[in-house]
Amino acid sequence: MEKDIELVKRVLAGESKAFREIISGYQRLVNHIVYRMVPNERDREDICQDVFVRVYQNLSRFRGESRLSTWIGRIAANRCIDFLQARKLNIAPNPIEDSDSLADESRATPETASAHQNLAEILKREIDNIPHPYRTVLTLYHLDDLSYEEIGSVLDMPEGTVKSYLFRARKKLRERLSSRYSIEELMI
Amino acid sequence: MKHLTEEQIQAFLDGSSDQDSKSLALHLYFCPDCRRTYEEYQKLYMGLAKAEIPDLPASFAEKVMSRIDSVNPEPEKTSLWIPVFALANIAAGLAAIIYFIDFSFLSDFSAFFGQEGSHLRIIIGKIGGYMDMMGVDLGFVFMVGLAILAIGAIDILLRIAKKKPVTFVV
Repeated sequence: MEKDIELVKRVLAGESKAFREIISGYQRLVNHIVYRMVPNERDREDICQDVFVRVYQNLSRFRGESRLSTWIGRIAANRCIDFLQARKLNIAPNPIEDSDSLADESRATPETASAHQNLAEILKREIDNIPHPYRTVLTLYHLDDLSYEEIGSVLDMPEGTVKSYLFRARKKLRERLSSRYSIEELMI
Repeated sequence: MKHLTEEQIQAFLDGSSDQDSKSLALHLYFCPDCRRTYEEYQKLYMGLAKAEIPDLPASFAEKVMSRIDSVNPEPEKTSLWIPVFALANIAAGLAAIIYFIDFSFLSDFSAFFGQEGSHLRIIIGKIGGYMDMMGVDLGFVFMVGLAILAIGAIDILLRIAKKKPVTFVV
């Protein structure tokens, strides 16, 4: 936390190199949030840029009450919501069961679902087929190593909801995988 | 033997289980059904940690920095330049006055303005005297002041050419 405050102080003192450190340190997290929340591929990079411009403009408001990662993550999530609302895109979370029909269509045929497939590649496709709040929570937990509490702060949801989303998303993914592949044959 | 729920297995893998982890581990060791579910989840967790998302382009940071520069130009830095520049001007000006100007004309001023004119002559004469006592070469002071003045002027011209605000940043 002290390191975060020190970094912010350097930026506020006019050191542009320090803001580059913030970008390189948190662009992965911002990219993950935007990628998972915004379906429009073309707009994602611009939104990520907007996030860092907002971070820069609001940096004097960072008080160190949370980690810089969750503060920036929250700005990213808010920017995504602004974008989705402006484009009148659906922001209400669908129950995970609703996406089953979509997932069925995208399922590989028995020929393509051969053994020794790369599990990570299969999962990338499968995650895209689950509703957005679930896939965002999954990514923040498994790729960004954020705790339940931190994910809750970023996405403005209670810790219990984070746990519930994680549980249901992983349960669904496991069911899909085990119904189509022999888990032992999947390579990591 | 009661099987573990999927929720318990996930919590065990997350390290967030409320239950005694040893008793869960013991159950998994002896129960092949639960162990199979556990191993499937274990593999799923490993896959999820590797299901990477495409990175942003390498030029991303540059793009953000240029947007920041255009939205919010860097605040003007007040560096040592401004006092140095001002002092150099004063020093060069004073040195030039004392070094080059013949003060005999001030006697005419004293005749015209009375006592004030002669006071000015005395003050300038005293400054020149003190400089001599301290071994300050007024010609050198003038040249150094002139050089700093020239550097400052070039700095301003270069900034105007680059369309940057004049900030006297070293």
